[in-house]
Amino acid sequence: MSQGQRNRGSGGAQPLPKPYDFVPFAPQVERKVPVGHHRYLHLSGTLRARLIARSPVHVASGLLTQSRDPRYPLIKAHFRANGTPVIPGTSLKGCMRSIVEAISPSSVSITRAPQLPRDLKASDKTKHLDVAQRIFGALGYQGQIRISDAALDRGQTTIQGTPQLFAPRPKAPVYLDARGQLRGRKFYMHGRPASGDLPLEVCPVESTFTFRLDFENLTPGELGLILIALGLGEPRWYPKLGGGKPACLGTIEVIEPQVEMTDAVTQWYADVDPPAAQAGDIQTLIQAARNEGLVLEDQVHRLADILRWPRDDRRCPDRSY
Amino acid sequence: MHKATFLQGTLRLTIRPDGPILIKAGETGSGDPTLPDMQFVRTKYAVSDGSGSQRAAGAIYLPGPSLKGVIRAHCERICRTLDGEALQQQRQERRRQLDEAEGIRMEYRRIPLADNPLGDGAQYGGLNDTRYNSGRAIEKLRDKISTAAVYRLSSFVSQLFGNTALAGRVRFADAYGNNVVVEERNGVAIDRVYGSVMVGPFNYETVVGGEFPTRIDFKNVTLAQFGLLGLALRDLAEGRIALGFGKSRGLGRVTASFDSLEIHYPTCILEDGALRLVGRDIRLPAGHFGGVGAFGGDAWRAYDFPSDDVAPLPEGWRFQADEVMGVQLRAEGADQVKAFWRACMPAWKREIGL
Repeated sequence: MSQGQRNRGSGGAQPLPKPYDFVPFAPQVERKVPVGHHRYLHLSGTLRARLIARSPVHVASGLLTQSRDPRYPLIKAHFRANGTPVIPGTSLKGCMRSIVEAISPSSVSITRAPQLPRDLKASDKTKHLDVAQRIFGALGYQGQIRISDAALDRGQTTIQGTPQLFAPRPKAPVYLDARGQLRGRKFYMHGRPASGDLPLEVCPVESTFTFRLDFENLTPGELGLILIALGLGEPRWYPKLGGGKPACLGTIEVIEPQVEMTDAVTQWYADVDPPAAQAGDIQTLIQAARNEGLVLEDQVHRLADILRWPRDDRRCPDRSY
Repeated sequence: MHKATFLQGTLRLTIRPDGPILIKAGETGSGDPTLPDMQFVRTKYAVSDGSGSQRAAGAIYLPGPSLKGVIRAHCERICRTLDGEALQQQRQERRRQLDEAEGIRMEYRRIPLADNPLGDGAQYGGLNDTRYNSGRAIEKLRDKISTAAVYRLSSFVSQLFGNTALAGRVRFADAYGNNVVVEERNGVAIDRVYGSVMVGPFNYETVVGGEFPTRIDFKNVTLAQFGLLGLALRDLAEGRIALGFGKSRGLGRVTASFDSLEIHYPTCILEDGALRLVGRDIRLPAGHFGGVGAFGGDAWRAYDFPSDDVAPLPEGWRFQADEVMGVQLRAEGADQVKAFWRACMPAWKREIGL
């Protein structure tokens, strides 16, 4: 069966428009020696923010659970830590890293795509790491940040029926351009969530989560790059995470970012009672990312277009996709 | 210096997970498909937990080496950050007479505050040298130098935690869990081009609740060394250091509370509120406590202990004479323990040249 026929479903409808688009790869990957963990040379501290669900968020626990809703006796459960629904740190890290990689001169850390050019492959030498590897880590190099689980702090989970989704098909021609080269990194667009028959336990729209990221030895620009990835730069965007991305789930807005940091490490370790951490200025840090040459403007504008919000103009595919 | 004991003590603390933690067991991936791919480390046999109670086989615990590793690494990080050329020259000059007397060659005399216990370098090459290992350097000189020189030529952090030529002065016990809550998590790596799962799902076990009381024993430490240990443990208590696997993806966050600190001077007696070393004419000022440097005198000069290794007792701390011999200091609670570290800070600042 051809791909076009599959997308038409059983009723022979027109092919569905793709719910995703591509951000082209970096023209060049810049690698250097990472700063390491053996001494404090740059900024260390904590980034706190609140996450607001702008569309239902579902991070699967991998378990089915019983529900009281007679329509859906069994639902796919949301991930929990110690009984509280949370967005696990792993999901947040993956979401942030994929964006940082896309908008900076970084390699493609995780892919099986055979057409990936050799110079875009991730370095396995710990002395030559791109900026995403330096921040988030690489094989043999621990990253400079620690992302905690973001616990649901307001609201309760609900049940959302979503369409059944097929797994992505790597052999589909959509990933290649006319010359047979990869079109770039795949990002799903936001839109009006579709409904279907697959019951998911979700954190509904307006749910809020507490986000915390600890960082160590980041340059101002690297910290700024993380802030841009969270959608706090210009142009703004909303990251997307969790399950059901093609069905428009997982739209997240990051608000109230606060950076507490210290670069006066001498004082920090000259007494048991350290001085108060300073507040970092978000805009200054974001500008530092550009000054340090860590931001690819073309890629930023492409991604901002894909991840823009609101998207009332766009409906997500409401049948098996 | 382990041939005499001037002071020894125990710090008791309780570590609590603040989110998921995982210290991976080595031998996972058994044939049992119901077990997660990565499991938490567990005792293989029943074991005594150090407080007199017995733990059944299969108890979840934080191994002492895991704690020692992160605390040592953090101490090294603090020292490397504060160390400098001028400070190293000062220390080298202070040791000059002792080193010359033993014929230590110039290239072995410059010692940083922190070295790399896993490095393979025997000669220090400056502040950016991450390979220098003072244990390796001493091994090259062994047989030709005294045990005092082994201590003197070890880096400050190695003097406390040990190296391949010198036993450490702190011992970390395993921390056995109480009321441990275990959960399983799944992980997948998403392909950046296709959006599909590239690796996984792999599942791993985490501990998300419970308490891990443990103890750190120490002996013959200087006040500066004790102060450094205090700074590293402060950062552990306040969640700045993570433990175990998956730190960058949010695992390993812990908090710690300090339950008690006990210090014992087994060879001292109390004389008008002052410590006096039995059999020697060494007496500390009244109301002052001391590190190992305060008791050495000329007999231990070759160790290059700080000679002014004393500090006033913090408020709320009192000497208590033992029934037979020896003097004790003991305090309960985080505030009192912190007050003790605060009292060690002037000695630490002298060490780092502030």
